[in-house]
Amino acid sequence: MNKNILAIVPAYNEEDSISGVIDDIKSHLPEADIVVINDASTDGTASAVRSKNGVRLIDLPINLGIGGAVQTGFRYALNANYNIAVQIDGDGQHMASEVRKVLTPVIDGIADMSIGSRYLEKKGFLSSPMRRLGNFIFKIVNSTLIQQRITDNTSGFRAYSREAIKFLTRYYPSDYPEPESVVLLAKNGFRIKEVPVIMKERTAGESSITPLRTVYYMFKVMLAIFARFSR
Amino acid sequence: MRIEFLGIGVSIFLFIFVFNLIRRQKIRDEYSLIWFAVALFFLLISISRPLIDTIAAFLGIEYGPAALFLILITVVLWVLIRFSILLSEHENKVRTLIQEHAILKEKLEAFEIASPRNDNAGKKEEKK
Repeated sequence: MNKNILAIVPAYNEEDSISGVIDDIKSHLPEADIVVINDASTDGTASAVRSKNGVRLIDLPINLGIGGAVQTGFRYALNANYNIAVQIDGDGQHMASEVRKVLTPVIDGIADMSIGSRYLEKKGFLSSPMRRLGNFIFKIVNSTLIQQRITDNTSGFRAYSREAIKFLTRYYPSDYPEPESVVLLAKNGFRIKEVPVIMKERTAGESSITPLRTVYYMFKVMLAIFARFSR
Repeated sequence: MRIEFLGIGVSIFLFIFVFNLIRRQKIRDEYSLIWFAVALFFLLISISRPLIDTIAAFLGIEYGPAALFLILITVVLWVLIRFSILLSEHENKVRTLIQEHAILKEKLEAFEIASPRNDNAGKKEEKK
């Protein structure tokens, strides 16, 4: 068995898209092992994954949120001695055809976290105007704090080195983890690289961020970013 | 004068109440210590009017009992923050447990599929 790359696929109520996501990863990244983290879905996500061959399913008994689900993947990767992990969301917005681009900096050993950014080349689906505003604010704040230009702080399309996996198994934010973990990793001396990717609009399911919660989200994440920075 | 007796009465009631909770194993000792400290403090300032007057004078509060309220609210806030810390620690522990549990469950399922005999043995155990 290839113990090198693990594809972590967090999924919450993605019964319509999860099969396609798994097939895409298999065809574009056949050497990787795939683990789906089912975050206590209430639909048929688990059985959709079980019907697939060569995919492992971790069924969380209680909903942990995206951060807790991805951290389960880190824990799994660490226990099973994988050298590299890549997160590909179960909703289908991360295209498996782009995964190699995201992996390359980590495989080449020049980054501990590689982020697939929608905004480096501005192609494909770029998210709604409201979220782009949020992304703009995160870009300014995070780039200033860590003295490195990070254009897509909310992208979850990321690859990690073993050192980063080990670190994030110990602490990873439970909800809205992406912008915070950029500052967290940079402050702790991990190298971050961004690569341009194209993303799709989600094919099915609902986004975890509703417009009503956006303000709360911004405040919470900003607080967390400054908390991580001030350590 | 009456408020002092009330204060002493409430403090003693709090002591007995907390002690009973420990005796019946309703709360763990570490939590009860916080409440014992609160009760002791309450008793102390209830007994000693000069103490509360001195504190009030020091804080620049003319009316003694107002200082009492200020101190009590501060102590209660401190206890609540302590509880937020404990709660956060517990959340972290529970999250780790959920993750480890799910990973182990996956391993066990893979193992049972690989060796069906063990699977049957496991099911018999369950029926008991």
